[in-house]
Amino acid sequence: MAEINTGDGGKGGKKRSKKVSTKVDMTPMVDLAFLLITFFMLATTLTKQQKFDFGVPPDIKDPKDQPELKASNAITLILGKDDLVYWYVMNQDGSTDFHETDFAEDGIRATLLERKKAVGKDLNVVIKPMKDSKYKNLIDIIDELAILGIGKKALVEATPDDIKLVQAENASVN
Amino acid sequence: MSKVKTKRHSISLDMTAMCDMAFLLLTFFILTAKMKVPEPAQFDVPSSVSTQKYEEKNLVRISISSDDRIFLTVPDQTLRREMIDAYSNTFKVNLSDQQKMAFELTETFGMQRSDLVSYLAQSAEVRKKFPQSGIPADSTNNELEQWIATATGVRPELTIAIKGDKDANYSKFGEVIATLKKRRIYAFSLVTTLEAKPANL
Repeated sequence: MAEINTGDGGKGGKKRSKKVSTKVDMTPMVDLAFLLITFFMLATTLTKQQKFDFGVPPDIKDPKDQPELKASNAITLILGKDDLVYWYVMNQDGSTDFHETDFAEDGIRATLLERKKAVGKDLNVVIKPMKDSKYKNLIDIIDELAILGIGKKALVEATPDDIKLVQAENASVN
Repeated sequence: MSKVKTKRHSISLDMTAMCDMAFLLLTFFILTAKMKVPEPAQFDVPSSVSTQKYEEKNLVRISISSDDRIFLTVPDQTLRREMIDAYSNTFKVNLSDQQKMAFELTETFGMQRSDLVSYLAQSAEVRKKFPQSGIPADSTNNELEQWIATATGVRPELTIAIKGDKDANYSKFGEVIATLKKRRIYAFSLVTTLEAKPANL
């Protein structure tokens, strides 16, 4: 197929032994090989996945073992449902301002950036996901912290007080 | 005057080199290939900016599907064998050799123990369509903890990865973390897909 025998037979006369070409036609073999390559490329897991390491603090039984944390250095993020984030910072006098925001660029990122500028590298982020938040919200928040270079974070269960605050916030909006 | 004959060229191409290359590539792909294993549920993994590569080496993976079922994936076949041996001994589950063999071939499963026993007794075709309700991990019946204990008991150096669907509820993830804490595992990795880092920071 791929080659055409162009050797002219020569004029009659002497009878020559017929020359047989020793070339093997490789075309089908190459076809097959590429077919198999294609198959293996597609069957292999194409999307490589990433990971990041995450740690949780051990549960503390004795409240005295709780590490001292300057309240004004900490910001608490509560992850609520419908991709909403609530955040507050404890003031000197123990009062809190409660805010509601979202995952947009001028939402939680702006808030965290502002806190980071105000507090510096001692900023502690306490993440409290509520039961009706999504797994994605948690990843987004941790990711946001990674982007902003905030290393100190803690994952804590939301307390009943937090849930009350969120409910109060929702009630005041409606 | 005699006609000038144009010399005829052979149009044959030498395919040998191409063939060599094709087979070289083929060999490479065969050796590096890890076949896609059909999973009992689809996971739409959230994205993050992390660039650490996720490799299924020396780990067990806990997956949470979008409908909040928990699955356990053990990529290493020899580990699966050791695990089912240890598990059936510890929890006094009578399993035949066929059932243990079936477990060895099950990379991912998500069901409670009683279902698992009947699942392993089925033929391979039935197993593919077997309804999997997820491994219970709540405080009353924490079978996930038993599996994690078995796995880390067999291989103490194992790492744990958690792969959650975007839409999985946090409460399920909380259950998984509480389970790991009970086993004194405080560090683990979360599986994500790559996302570009925002440039304007």
